[in-house]
Amino acid sequence: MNKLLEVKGLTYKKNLRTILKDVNLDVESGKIIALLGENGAGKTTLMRIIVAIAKHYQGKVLLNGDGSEVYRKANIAMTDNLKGLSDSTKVGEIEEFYQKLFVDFDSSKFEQLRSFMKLSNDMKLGQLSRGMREKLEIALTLSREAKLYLLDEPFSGIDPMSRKRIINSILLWKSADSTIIISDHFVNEITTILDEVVTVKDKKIASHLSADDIRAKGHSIEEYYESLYADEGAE
Amino acid sequence: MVTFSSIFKELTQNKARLVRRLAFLQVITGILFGFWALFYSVFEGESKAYMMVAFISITPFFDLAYLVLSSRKNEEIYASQTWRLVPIKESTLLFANLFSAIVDGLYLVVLQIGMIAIAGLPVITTNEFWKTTFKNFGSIGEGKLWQEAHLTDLACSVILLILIAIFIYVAISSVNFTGKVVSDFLPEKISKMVYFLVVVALTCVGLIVLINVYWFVLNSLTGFLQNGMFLTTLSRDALEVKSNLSSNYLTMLAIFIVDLILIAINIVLLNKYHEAKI
Repeated sequence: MNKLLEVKGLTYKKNLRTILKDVNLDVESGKIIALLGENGAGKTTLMRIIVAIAKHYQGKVLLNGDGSEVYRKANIAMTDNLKGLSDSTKVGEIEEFYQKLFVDFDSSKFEQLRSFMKLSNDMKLGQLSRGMREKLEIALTLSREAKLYLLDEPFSGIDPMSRKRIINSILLWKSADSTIIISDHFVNEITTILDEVVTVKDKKIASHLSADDIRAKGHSIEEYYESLYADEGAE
Repeated sequence: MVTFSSIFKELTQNKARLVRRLAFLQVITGILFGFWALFYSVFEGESKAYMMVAFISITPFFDLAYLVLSSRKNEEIYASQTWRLVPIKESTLLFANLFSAIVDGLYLVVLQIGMIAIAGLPVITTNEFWKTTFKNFGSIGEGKLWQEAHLTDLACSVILLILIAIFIYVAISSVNFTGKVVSDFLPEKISKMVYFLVVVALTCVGLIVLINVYWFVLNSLTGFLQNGMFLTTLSRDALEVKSNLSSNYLTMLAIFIVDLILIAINIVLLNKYHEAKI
């Protein structure tokens, strides 16, 4: 497998608070990885740095050996809350927006994902429930032919039945050589599709293990995650 | 990578909604104000002109509203993850955002000219209107305007207004970016207060510059309307005319340089420090 993403000696501070300290992470292509950690552990910040929208950090972030911000943005698809668009924007207009601004956006894939998520082109952003909005965010993100997908807590507002259906179908929507990093609290629901588990704790990458290694030790991924917080009580 | 034209088109379309809403609001306000003025005979002169005068009177307020709302929109775009995720250089985003606001501003001006022309149809088709207008505008009334007005002066005044609009947009961004960057380097508890203080301090400096620019524009336009030339004084002395024209060009150059400096500062801040909100 090729090395897709390299994060070297990454430190990020904001408001005199260290959020990430000397983070090192290597990710290969073709994997599905869970990024786990407590609220405020720095998972979202790490994703924002990887996709080049968080600034003023120390260290290096390389995608296929290239550290340029534009290259990273062009090849990484990250879920976005769409707050930059007005509530009156229709789903169909958002599709056009993505089509024009992301050259790797595949409209036919979006149409399939849109009907899978039961979204209509006439629906306005302001009319969508939290769950529906998250479904739209996932559909838009996975419709890009990116090398790396960053899904930041994508299922938190989605009902359990739809969540299960979406998680089980994620493998269908990704190409063999692309990688997905999912940050989520619903550990037990995503375990079946995971290849690797990365945990963020105390501003650092506390562990980076393959899902098979965890299972080989007789633990479920949820048990393993809970064991990291055994002393303090997991969330 | 996305081209400048793609993002420019998207941003222009995005802000065009604001222009159309403002134009619609101006039509409604203009009609109501016009009828109110007609009913109470608020203006002097021919009643046929009331509707046009009403539209002309409210136009500066809507231009000002556009300036405020489009500036706010510009800052929202810089702070938006949706727009910052677009694979494009930060400098390209800045130029596209800036010029889309200018182009949409010109779009509003075109719509306003249309509104005023339609509202004035009953009156601008009469000879009397033109006679009164010529009389009111001094040398224009004597038919000297087109002998004396230089096309370059007219072009200069348009360029000057665009340069001032750019100055306002980039100055607001500089204040906002600087405030955010400074507050990001301070504890969260006081970051909002520091942002507020930085914004207030920089706004005061900006306002002083703006007031000076305002008086310059006012003098220049007054000179243009009364004398048919783009002057800051009404002197007819050839030497003074030459020197005043040169000073106008120098002022334009000065504003252009200030714009460039602020744009360069904004690019650095956007590139290195200013982050989109989560």
